[in-house]
Amino acid sequence: MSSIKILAIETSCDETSIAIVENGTNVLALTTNTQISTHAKYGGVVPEVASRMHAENITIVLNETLEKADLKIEDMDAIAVTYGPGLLGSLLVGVNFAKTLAYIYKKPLLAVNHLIGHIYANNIENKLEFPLLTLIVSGGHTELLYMSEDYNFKLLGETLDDAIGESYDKVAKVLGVPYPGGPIIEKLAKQGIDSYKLPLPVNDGTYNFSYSGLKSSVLNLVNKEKMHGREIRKEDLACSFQKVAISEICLKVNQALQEYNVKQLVVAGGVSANQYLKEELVKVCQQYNTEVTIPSLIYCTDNAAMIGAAAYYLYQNKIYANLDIDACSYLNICE
Amino acid sequence: MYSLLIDTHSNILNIILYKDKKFYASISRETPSQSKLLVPLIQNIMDEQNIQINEMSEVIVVNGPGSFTGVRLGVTVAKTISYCLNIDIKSISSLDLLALSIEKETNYSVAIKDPKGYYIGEYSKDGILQNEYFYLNKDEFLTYETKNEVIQDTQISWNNVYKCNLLKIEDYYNIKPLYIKKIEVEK
Repeated sequence: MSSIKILAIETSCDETSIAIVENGTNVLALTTNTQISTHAKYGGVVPEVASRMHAENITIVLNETLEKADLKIEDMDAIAVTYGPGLLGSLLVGVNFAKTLAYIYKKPLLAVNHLIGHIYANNIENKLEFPLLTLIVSGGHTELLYMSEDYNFKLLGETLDDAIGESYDKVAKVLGVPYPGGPIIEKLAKQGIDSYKLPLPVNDGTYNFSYSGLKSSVLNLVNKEKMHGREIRKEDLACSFQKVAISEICLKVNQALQEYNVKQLVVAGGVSANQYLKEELVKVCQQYNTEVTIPSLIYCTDNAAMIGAAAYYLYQNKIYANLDIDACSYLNICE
Repeated sequence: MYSLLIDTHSNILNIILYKDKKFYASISRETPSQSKLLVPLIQNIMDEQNIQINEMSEVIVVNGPGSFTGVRLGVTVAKTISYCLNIDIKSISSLDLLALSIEKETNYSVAIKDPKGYYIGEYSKDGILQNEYFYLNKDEFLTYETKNEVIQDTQISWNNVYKCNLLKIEDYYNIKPLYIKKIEVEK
């Protein structure tokens, strides 16, 4: 088998990440410079600050990645970059950086959808087996899709309001938990018991999700308890919230498994790092003999290795981008 | 010896090619999207002149102030070229770039407009910067304008770039855009 090496670049949010991926699966080097500590001061990602940090760090991250793999840009077969969706200013830095490399070294440019990257993160340690269901759960997305083959997506349902990760972050804010709140809510939930009553998701027969109602219920509950002078048991509320939030996911996945005969449930996006989500999905999928695939933590969160993994298909099929490609902050997975 | 200058501080994207430090060729394009056109226009100018990018011996970037996104992209592309080709990178500010195209008998200020106000540089009649750049909102600018000789629009004399000593030697890891104006979280 010939060795195809792709230099992949990801700057869609607050991680400056560059990887070298061989044949879409073998990660030869991965460097991710995270800006979490900077944005924590502001209680969330500040787009202009994120863009500035990407521009400052990107050549340093490139140099470190090349050194780790002991390779040169000349050794690459293609340059891949996330062109959306994400924060526009951040994406623009990566896209223009990638275009410059592709131009100077006369390499094909591969424009990768960030969400497809998250799905193909599962091809690094596992192998995608079609047909499959894929669940994208992150700070910006909650989507359930059916894939019959590589790059063939059918959207079954998506969130009508907040993304699941967003609801974790918003609840974290209500509970006064520092940014990034999602992982801390999960930790608190582990120490708590499910003792607060929150409305359960309704089964409306669709595959769509909704999280703003749940967030409002948590907010109302906290205000009510405060009014009565009762202290909020953060651990318990986190536990009750998480249970409802994840039960909605499981409900829809269960429904989809009844309708579609698939080999795998592929979980993608930052929230797939959530251990409770994983346990609950495994329980659901066991009933259907469906394998649950979730990447390890480094490939769950935003990283360039997944972009290299997703770009391999584009390279094989010669789906190259032109140098006048622009970043798109909103991008549908089915486009 | 060729060198390349990238100017993305405004909605007019300028790519200038110098040969032996003299103006050689240029492409200017008014565009709302530097991101789309910046690299293609660099490719165009090279192709038109039948020159390879790796024949460049230095890259100059107008690193602001001006459009945040514009100067960030200009700096990103310039430092990537400098890193890849291992060539020198130099910067010149947008205000200096305008000032070196102006001939005056008295002291003057140069202003660059953005949607909410103006970036200002104050120069002596010999074109020497008098103090640090600053930013004025529209109201402040109206008052400022009555007390100072302000020049906003001028034809840039690209040939003067190498005649002046305003080019700052940078390195590809540490070069930064000049943003000047504070953003909300910095206030």
